[in-house]
Amino acid sequence: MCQAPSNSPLEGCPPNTILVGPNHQYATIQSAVSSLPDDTSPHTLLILPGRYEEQVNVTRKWQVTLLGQTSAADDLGSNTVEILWRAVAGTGDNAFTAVLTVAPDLNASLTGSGPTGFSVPVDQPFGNTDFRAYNLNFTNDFLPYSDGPSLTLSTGYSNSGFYYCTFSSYQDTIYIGENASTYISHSSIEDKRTFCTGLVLCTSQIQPFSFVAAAEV
Amino acid sequence: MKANESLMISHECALGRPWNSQHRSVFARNYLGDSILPAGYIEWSSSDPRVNNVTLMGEYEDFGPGFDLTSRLQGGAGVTVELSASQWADFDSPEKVFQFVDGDLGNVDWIDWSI
Repeated sequence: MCQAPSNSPLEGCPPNTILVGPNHQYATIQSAVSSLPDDTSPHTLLILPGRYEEQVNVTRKWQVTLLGQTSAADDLGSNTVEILWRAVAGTGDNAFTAVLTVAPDLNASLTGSGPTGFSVPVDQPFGNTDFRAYNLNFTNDFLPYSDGPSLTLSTGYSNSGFYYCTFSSYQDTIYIGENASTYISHSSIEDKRTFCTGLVLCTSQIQPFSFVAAAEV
Repeated sequence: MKANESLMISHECALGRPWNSQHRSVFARNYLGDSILPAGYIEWSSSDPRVNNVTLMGEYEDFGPGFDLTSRLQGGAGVTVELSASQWADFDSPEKVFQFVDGDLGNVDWIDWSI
């Protein structure tokens, strides 16, 4: 019952759960993610209802779970947490536009250009092996039409699962990069122009059933 | 799904377009809204299709106003493959899709199966 609203919101949450919310010690998701220790312990963020206008980068290697607080965890339409950013690639790399990035470092997240994309160094380390997100709405609202790549999610060299999440943008909404395995279930992807991008392999499903995406070198 | 219900998009959004010929994707059992292009997937361009024998731009049992079987199966530039049940069986569970960095399949310990 960790996700259900109550007077003591952390009740029922796993050990190592941090509360994120307006007027709390951690008012942004990134500040809480950045506070996590660099060890193998699993950590959870419980995110209170609100609009979070920020980009979130998860570089930590070990289990990180983001939970949106909700009284109806099995209903996508009842999500209370909105994570927004407004960016378009323009002359820079698509990676810089993402609302959420799950990758160990910049090299692991760059899209690059041309059919072969960015050449990730051969000694590139792997990033998060067990990232999970529940009941979160990700929006890249740069413009209300397609004007260039505007990512909501970018993954590279990581494993990530999304449950009851929405991803909304107008172009290149989701990018699954090299050595990224991304599973999206009971979620919605809303895009004007391109549903899914990925350098090598991208399998997807649009509506709130199950979506599986993976990319390998 | 359209990003915004007010968008005037009808039958013009491709399922996918191959950034390179290594593209392999399957849309399976999806409801497809009316924004989807009747042909489904498209090649990169007529002069540079980026489609070869590795490329797979597949569908299995999609439905809804964005699924137009007649247009999908038309020849010409049609690159969409309607998978048979046995072809879909190669991809029908996460264990058959997610690889470890070394290429072995079965990288699924991070998936929440309770949902």
